[in-house]
Amino acid sequence: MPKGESLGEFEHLILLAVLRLNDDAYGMRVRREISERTGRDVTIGAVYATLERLETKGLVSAAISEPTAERGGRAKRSFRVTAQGMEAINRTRHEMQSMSEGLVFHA
Amino acid sequence: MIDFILGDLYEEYGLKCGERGVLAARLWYTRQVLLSLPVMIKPVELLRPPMIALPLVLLDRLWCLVYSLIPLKDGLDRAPGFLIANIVCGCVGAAIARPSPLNATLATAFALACSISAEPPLYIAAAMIAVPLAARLRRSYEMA
Repeated sequence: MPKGESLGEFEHLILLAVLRLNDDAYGMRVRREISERTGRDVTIGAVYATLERLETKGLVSAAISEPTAERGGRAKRSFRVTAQGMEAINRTRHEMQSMSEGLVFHA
Repeated sequence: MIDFILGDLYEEYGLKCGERGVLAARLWYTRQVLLSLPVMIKPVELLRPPMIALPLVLLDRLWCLVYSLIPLKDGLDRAPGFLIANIVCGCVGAAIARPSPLNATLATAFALACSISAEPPLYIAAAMIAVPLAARLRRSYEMA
């Protein structure tokens, strides 16, 4: 597998968050989802930079909605995981499981 | 991308105000904006204008050198026509270099035409305004 196809840790988190949020995955929701579930203080800039990279890799696709008043009249960019993205998630999950197999983790 | 980031921050700021109060929400907002600045203003975008302006400046200096070598015209100011030729060359270069040539060419040509009698540092300043403008125009075009 070429190096560029493997997922980084944060990329993996973002893809999982987008997957969890279904049709409501946009920057703010993705950021909150990761913050709430992992306790990490994630910045919106980091989320967008990663989403843009994932889009370039073809792992997510984006759609732009109409501007709304609650967003100060700005449009929203929603993301969905592509088939290629699902493949990348499954591959990473499999790699992690495979590497963890048989190991004993002490607290 | 800036519009989407600001829209998201605006929306979450409203939620944070309800959750933690206005002061905490303001602090959170400021921190988010400061930490997201490197993403909003990409280093590549900052490097791009000088990279476009540099060949233009070098070409202009070359024209000046060639012009000063003509004995009878030595000491005279160069004609604006030379700069126009440089602008055309610069625009052709920008058109080749940019993914959306039309917007980049128009914006670069406009800014450079404004600084028609300016010295090289002003060309760079003009290009630094023009190229992000062209990139923004391109994004607006893609969004439309």
